[in-house]
Amino acid sequence: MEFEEADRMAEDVAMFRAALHARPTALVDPSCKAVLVALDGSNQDTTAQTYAAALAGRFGARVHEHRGATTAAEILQAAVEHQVGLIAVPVPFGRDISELRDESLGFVVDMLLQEAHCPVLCVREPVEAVEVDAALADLVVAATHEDQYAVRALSWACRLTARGGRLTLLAVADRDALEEVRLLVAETISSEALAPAALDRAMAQQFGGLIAALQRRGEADGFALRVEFRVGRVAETVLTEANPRRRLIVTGAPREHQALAHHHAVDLVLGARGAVLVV
Amino acid sequence: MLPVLLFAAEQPAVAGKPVLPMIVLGTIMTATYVVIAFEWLHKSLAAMLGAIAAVTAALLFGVFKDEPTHSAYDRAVHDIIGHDVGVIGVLFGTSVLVDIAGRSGLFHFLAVKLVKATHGNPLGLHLAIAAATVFFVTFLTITPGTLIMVSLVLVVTKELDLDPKPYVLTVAICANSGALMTFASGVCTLMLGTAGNLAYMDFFRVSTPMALVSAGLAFVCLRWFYRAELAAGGSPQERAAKVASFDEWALVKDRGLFYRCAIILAGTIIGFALAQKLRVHIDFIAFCGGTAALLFSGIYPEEAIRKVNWSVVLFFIGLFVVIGSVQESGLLDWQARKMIELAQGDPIVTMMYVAVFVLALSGVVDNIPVAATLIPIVRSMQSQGMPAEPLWWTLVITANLGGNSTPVGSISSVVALHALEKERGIKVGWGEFLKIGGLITVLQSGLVLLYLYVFARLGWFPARS
Repeated sequence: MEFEEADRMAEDVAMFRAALHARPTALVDPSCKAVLVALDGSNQDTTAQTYAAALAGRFGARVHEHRGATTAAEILQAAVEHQVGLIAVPVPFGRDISELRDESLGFVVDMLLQEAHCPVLCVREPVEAVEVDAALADLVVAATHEDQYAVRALSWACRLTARGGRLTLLAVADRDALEEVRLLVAETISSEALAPAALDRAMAQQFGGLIAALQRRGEADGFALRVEFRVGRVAETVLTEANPRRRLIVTGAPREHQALAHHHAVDLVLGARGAVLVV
Repeated sequence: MLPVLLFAAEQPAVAGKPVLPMIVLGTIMTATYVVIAFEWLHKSLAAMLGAIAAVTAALLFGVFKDEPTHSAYDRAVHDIIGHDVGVIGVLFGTSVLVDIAGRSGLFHFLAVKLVKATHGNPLGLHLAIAAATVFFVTFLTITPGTLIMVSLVLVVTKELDLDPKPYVLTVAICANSGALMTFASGVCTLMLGTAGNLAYMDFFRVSTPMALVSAGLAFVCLRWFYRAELAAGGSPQERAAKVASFDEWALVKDRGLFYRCAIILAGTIIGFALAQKLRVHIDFIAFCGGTAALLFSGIYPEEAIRKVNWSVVLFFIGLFVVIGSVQESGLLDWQARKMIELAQGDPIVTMMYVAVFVLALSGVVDNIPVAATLIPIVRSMQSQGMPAEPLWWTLVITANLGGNSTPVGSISSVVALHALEKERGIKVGWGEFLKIGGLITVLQSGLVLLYLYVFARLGWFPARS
């Protein structure tokens, strides 16, 4: 059999195995009764307010504005007081984006991402209201595994995507992590097993259940869903897709700052031109 | 070799054409086929080398003459390729469309739906696999259709703990019936359809019934031959539960693409059916379908265009040039005349000779070179007063079904048997294949000859446009 045919067959077999072994996955239905928007007097405030209003509108939630906070603790306390389900903040907090750019999130946002009990929407470059609407009709979800964080991020993304909008799941096999594994157990993993085509097939099997659940949700809620498998550095890969049109990125991450997924989320916020929702 | 050439050079001309160029060009064509049949070289490379040798010989012997507007070289290469460019257009359009449809998961989705509908019942599963193979090959052509179905069979039979061999052989053999369902169901079919200017809708009158009956016959034979292996094992509830665990939505990466592909594919098929009324050829419709798929798929065009089977396109170009040169030498006209003489000028007997010849030869040689060589012979027979319609339909049916007799007779068998051995370590030897494939070919050949005879006798072959 010619190489191309053998390759195509391996792809087909992997697709059918993915369909066979798709673990039934249930998307959760996130709730949010109130949205807290923390304002810092920077040129990102208006965009943060527009995002907060749009997201609150998806849930029929209230919006609370909080001005004058200087620490993460103040914002978190306000969030608890108002029982909010989502916090929106300009990033970096307390300064214009042009001052820090992609060097640091600033201490306030770093702490929010580690301590917040609810998702945090990090607003980056200031944009017009119409661009916020466009971002909410074209979301990108970044995931490296089918785990609880990916399920939560996708559940939120499904809820936020406008009817008639589009949701893109970028499933990224992290090149750095693969390289570490390859160095660790080099003798037992063939280079073919880590080739892009083989990783594509592995991801198709891993994400099968989630893809099925998402397609069903998309069919019911009237939004388009596209899944793409990529191999590369997570932040670089996702930002290349999202930044040109300042699309809203949604990602799931544990609060522990040592966790690799938390680092990926921080890198995404640092490099993003649009907003990033860290669930 | 030299004495033969010297002897040939002294022979009188046949129908006004010298014998030596006929022998040399005929030898080049035969050598090309032998190299392709024994896989001594990649088939595209063999065809290109054959083309270079044929053009060189034809120019040296003055087979092609300079004309006021066309040089001999123009006639030897450009005119021949230009004459058959329609086939290349259809190949391009359908390749792009099929690749994008394959990626959309549409056919994989339908395949899983069908398997789930059987609830894991072995008889139902066997029937579903045979039917889906014919259906998929009809729309996707033989190689992609076979690849999807063999992959499905390998995964399902492993899960249900069934012997994959009868199912894989069902795919391999029924795929050849699927290839004659419509004008665009197989490379060989579309080449003959284009050459014979056969209407898309006429396939439903002549070739589709034969495709369905031959697939049914193959199914019954396979069912009987592998009755022990196809017997159910395990509990029906357990099998049903395993099959139900398939989730077809896991196969769909882009739902928008999935629906767009279904629409473009349906539109292209409707276009094929209406081509004659629209006064365009099938290649134009295929080209439109391919372009629409590129435009609306969201897939980077470079990536999709790369998937066009350029190796087959090159193979065709080489083959057409070889055959065109041989035809110009007069050898194929001479062969056509000899066949008519052998049949004593009887159109039905001539048709039967062609049928038996192609059925026998397609089992050992790739059916594309067989069909490509027969095209100019049929054209020549037509110019000598033979009714062409029965001959074109004979070629369509026999070139596709003849490949069932041996494990190397058709691309579907080659792909299916290789996959079975590679994925499951099960080898089907020549002996075993000849028993079942041979039995099916004998029965199908009898059926085909009877079918063609009835059609010719009753004048049921539709007149060409």
